[in-house]
Amino acid sequence: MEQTGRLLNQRLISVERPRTIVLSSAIFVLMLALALIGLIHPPQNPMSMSIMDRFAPPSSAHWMGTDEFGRDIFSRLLVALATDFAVGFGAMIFGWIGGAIIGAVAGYSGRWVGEVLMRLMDAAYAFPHLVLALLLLTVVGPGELSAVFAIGIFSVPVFARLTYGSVMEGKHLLYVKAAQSLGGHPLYVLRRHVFPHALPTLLVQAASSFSIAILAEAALSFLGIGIQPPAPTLGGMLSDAVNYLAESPWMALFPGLFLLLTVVGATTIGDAIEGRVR
Amino acid sequence: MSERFAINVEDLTIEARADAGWISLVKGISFQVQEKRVAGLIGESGSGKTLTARVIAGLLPRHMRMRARRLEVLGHDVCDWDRQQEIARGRNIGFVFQHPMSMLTPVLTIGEQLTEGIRFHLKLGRRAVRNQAIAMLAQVGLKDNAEAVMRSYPHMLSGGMLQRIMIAMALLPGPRLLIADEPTTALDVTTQVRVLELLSNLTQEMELSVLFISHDMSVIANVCDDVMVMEQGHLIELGSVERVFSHPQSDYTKRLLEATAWHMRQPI
Repeated sequence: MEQTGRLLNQRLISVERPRTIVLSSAIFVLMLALALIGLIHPPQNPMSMSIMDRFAPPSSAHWMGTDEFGRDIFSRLLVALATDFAVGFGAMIFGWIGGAIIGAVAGYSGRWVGEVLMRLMDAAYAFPHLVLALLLLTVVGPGELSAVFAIGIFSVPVFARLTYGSVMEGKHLLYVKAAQSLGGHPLYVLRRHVFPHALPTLLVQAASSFSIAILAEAALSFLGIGIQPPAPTLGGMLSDAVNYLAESPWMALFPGLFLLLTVVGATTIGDAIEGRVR
Repeated sequence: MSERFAINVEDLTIEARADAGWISLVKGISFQVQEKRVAGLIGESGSGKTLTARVIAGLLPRHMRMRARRLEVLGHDVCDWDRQQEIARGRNIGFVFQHPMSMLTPVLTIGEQLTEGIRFHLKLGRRAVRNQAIAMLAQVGLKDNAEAVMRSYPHMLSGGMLQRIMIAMALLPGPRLLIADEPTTALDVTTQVRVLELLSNLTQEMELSVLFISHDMSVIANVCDDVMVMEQGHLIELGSVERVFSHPQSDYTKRLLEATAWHMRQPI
């Protein structure tokens, strides 16, 4: 028994962290921190206009220059980042929850319920995503919540498909049979014993769904049907910058850079997680 | 409805779907397990013994079907097994499986899984559930580390400990029938002996009826009151352990006994 006690006190073996996860976390955490600053207290008012300061290049007063209304681009970027993080994260969570529920129920029940649900998911997946989002936004109208809904809905089939596969595989595991033999409610067995089997895959997908959602939001705002001006978004700022690309390239450069860093950070975090869980 | 039998099976057939129709794996077997007795079911791999046990516990695999003239468990008719066995399963029938290492969910603590049985079937407060679990762990010989065991995950424990935990899990809801499907096959010989002793002591103490499945004659001889021999889906011999071991009727049983004797004579 003493031996057993020692065994129990033993910690899990620590695994050496690969460099990629450190670097990608650093980028992602930096973007998240900037978004938080934008949410709580941006250095300058992102809405205040100044005719005198229009198209000012980067300087000590305006770190990333100003736009066509003389608004501080750095402050606007921080606020835009906060909005985009919220929309991206919301859309990812929406897709995760919807997809996990549909996929888990379909996979666990099997038979015709599963077939019907998954065929519906296939149909939704086959529909061009941005067109679907455009359509939904036209119907429900622009705004942050509708953006979350419109972008989130196209990651539902992805999460559903992944959960379905893992649950189909997991429900035949011996320990699931054992839990069933104890007489647990099917939903309980599914939630506590089968679903954890799908978590690693879903975690990796969450990272890439998040970056896809950020990109999709940028695309929708660029087209002018996402979150409406004057509220800043990365896509909206890029869209404004298009007309002044030759004279004031910083207007496009910095939003593009922020978008790039956010997406790269999120995606490489996904890769790093994948490396650890496999 | 006879209460004298824990299990009463008449003409049970189990079939599996194959390319050309159905193949029968268990071919019309009949047997009874009397209340508060330990019945052993013996046979080689593929003889249908595990399948028989699964059907009694209501765990028929999906691609199979069964029919029986009579299938009574604890006095309840479970021929129409979907609904009825849901009621009996776990609460009245405990099941101990062959491979304890792959029978516990790796991401949940022992405590959580151990208490599932009582949480499913009895409405008890958290503390009462916990106390019962700790008392049961003490009964299966894990008294000293009960708290630590409850907090640990399956990969942290040895096979012998896990099988004790599986036994505790099956017995915790207070079943009247225990089905043990080769509970010691995956364990080393010394652990095997200890787990077997534990099982026989507990079943005697709790006055359980037991269906004990094994392919090992010596295990059956030590644990069981009655024995049933299966070969290729047929039940070829049944009777008390003394009778079958001293005067085996069928050639197959004789061969099994000879094989065991030969096995015993081998120098180490």
